[in-house]
Amino acid sequence: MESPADILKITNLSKSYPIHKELALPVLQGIDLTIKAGELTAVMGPSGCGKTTLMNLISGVDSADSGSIMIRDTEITTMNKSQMAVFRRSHIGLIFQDFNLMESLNVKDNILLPLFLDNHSQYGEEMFQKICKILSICDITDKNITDISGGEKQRTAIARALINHPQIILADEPTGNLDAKSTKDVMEYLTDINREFQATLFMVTHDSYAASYCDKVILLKDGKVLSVLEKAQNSRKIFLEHIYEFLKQIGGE
Amino acid sequence: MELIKILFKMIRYHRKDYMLYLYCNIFTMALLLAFLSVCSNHSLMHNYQVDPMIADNILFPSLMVCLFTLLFLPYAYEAFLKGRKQEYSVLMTLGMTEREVIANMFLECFAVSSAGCIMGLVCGSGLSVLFFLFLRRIIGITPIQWEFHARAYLAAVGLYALVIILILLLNIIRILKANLSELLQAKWKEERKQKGSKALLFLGCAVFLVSILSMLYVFYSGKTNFWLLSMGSFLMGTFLAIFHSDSVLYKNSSRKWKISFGLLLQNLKSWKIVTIISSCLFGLIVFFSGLCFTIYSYSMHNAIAYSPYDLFYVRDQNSNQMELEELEQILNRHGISLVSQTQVCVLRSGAFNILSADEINEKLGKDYHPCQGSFIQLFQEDLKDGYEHELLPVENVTIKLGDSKKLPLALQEQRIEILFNPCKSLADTTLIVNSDDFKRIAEQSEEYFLVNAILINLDNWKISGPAIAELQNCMAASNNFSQEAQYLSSLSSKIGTYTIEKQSSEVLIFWIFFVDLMFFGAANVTIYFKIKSELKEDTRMIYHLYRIGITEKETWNILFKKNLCYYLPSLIMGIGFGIFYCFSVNSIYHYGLMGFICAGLTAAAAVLLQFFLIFVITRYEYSEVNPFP
Repeated sequence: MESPADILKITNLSKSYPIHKELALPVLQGIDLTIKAGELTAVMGPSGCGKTTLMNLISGVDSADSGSIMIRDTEITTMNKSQMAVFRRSHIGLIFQDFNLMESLNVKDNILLPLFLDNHSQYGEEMFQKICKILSICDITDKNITDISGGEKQRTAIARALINHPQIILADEPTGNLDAKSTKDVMEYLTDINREFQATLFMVTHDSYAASYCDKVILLKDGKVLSVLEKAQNSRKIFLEHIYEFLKQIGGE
Repeated sequence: MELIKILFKMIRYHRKDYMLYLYCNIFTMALLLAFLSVCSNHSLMHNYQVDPMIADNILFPSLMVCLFTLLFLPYAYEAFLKGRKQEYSVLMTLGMTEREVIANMFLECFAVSSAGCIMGLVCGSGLSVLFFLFLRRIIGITPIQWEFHARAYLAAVGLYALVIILILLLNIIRILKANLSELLQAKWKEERKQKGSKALLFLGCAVFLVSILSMLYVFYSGKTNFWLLSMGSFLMGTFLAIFHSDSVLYKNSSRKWKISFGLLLQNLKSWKIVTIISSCLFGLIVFFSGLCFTIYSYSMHNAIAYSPYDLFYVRDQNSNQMELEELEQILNRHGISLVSQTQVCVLRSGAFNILSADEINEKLGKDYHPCQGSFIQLFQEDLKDGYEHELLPVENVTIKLGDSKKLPLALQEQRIEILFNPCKSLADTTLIVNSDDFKRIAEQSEEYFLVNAILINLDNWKISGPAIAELQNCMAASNNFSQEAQYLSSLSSKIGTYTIEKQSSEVLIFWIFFVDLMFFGAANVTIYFKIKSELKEDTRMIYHLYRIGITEKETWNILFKKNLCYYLPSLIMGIGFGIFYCFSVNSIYHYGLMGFICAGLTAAAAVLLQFFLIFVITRYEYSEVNPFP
């Protein structure tokens, strides 16, 4: 790593999916990215530009054709599935658009699940209380997943992603299934978490409003990085206007 | 420890799925063991007192049960695992390793399968005892009894374990091969479908038509072996048509059905598979049941047609020596009177029975006139008995006489006529010769010996069972033969044949009832698994419809129509298949109308039962998805 502050470094990352015997559809083509620790980053772009694929590759859910992904000092593209699973449980927090919560468990069990998988339940309680307080879900921890709202489900998923002190949180359209109010709440919670735990957030989204909460917006098109917008010292409102403007120029959503 | 608690919580949450899978295992194992127990039972399968016709009826249903085990257990496991796969994939994204997932899958499968196996063995043992009680007490096959055979248990457990191990291995390999993103999207990926092709739909219909035409060819040409080929092409055509039915289905559906079709089309691929499986099962139910009932009706007819005499037996120097007075006394004791009695001389060897034409003409009122040096070959068969007949002529017979002389006989003609009852004491082929030739053979041949065939008619054969049983015992006592020799010398009676045919048909119906029950259960479980797996999506869709103003009655109608879409196509196709083949296969053997009626009645019963089940399932589904407060 060039700088100790870089938490994610992607170099020349490519991925294609076979569509016929000898035909492959390139989804990502030579992506280079660097994310600093504690940064809030959003990836935007039109449908099919490779956002979710990029997220899947970083989380090790899918494997790359070529290129390198370094999380802190660990190269993850060379790991086998079991090594990746162990790495994921202790270094990566995942948030999904459709929450992917276990309906068979209550809110608390869902949140603590990564700790149970890692056999670290003893230090979970304190962290659990702290996260629940920040995410305002203390009252629903005994409820079943089927009995809570979409916003509460997403906050539960965020809590689950945080419980293991991950080095990086990867969120795939975390506000995709939420209404405007819940979107605002979730993004504010994520900002609070970022501040409180210095958590790095890497988020894929279609929602410019959600992206405006981030420090940096990476715009993808046809599997390549088209541009990187920095919030810098601008207010969220001005940053949102920049994002809108840029998306309008490239004919995006 | 915490993880184990969590896994137990997950199991508790999915207890209904586990129970359903467990029931499938118990049901399959119990049937498998019960049938294998019957197959390995000595008192039924290797007993001279039980006609092989009755015993052999178990073989085909047992084969069906084994096939069912091979196909249904994997399906039930797949359906069970389908619900769990999504959870496993979520656990894997959270960091559960493949090894942990596989260990968990193995433990789950081992626990449920072992419990299913043990409970299945217990239920199967009970079921096999019930089978024997039913066969003894209700059908009346008294010589049989339940026996414990370790090999039946071993075979059942072996087959069951083999299937479970194979499906577990297959799924482990699938998990190892798939990447996590595929597993997360497994359900959607499965349903990511190519649109059906109209060309293949028409091809399916064409194959379907060809199968029907080929059945007509079978009917007219008499090449009966072709009907299986026709059945195969019928199924192939149906499969093609179902797989490509969506090319016309949705566009042409009426407004009233559009929402129900919409629910169905969300999971079109699995709908097609379920429809194909269940239509095959429904088809086989109708076909087998129709066939069984048809066999029952013509068996009763055959019992009488093949036994022109109420009592028939063969007497020679060593066996069945009983005076007529003694015989009459026994009959009279049972309230039966002898109406007529005739004796015919038969020359028999291991291969042939030879009768004298003059004697037959005189005593039985027949009209056979073989020339000297020739014979009339008699096929004692009814060509319309519902079975296939192969009438193989014997062109020449040379009979060795004493002093190295030979008597060559040539075929003069063949006749198809039932002269007397089938009897184990006689050979299969009967020849009628000129009385001079008969006399010469009787006097000079060393390989033919003379026996007397006794042909008796009674005043009421239907109540002659106990009398004939006593006669049989008396003759057996005087014969003092080995069990096998006595079996070969046994009496042949109309009541005996009738009872055997009746028992054999009833036993067949009894076995097929279980096979049908198994198929019907499997078809419904298959569809139920499917409906249950879609419950969440349906609930969401119904909720959306509720928000735009759907009424309770409309919700019920949508669900009911959707379930009709699941059950009716397979039921209609199955019934069409079953009735058509039951009619056409039986038509070859002159029982087409009977086959049609029997299959039709079975189909009507299946439809009624199925409609009741659709109603029950819709009520369950409605209570689950109902968004109304």
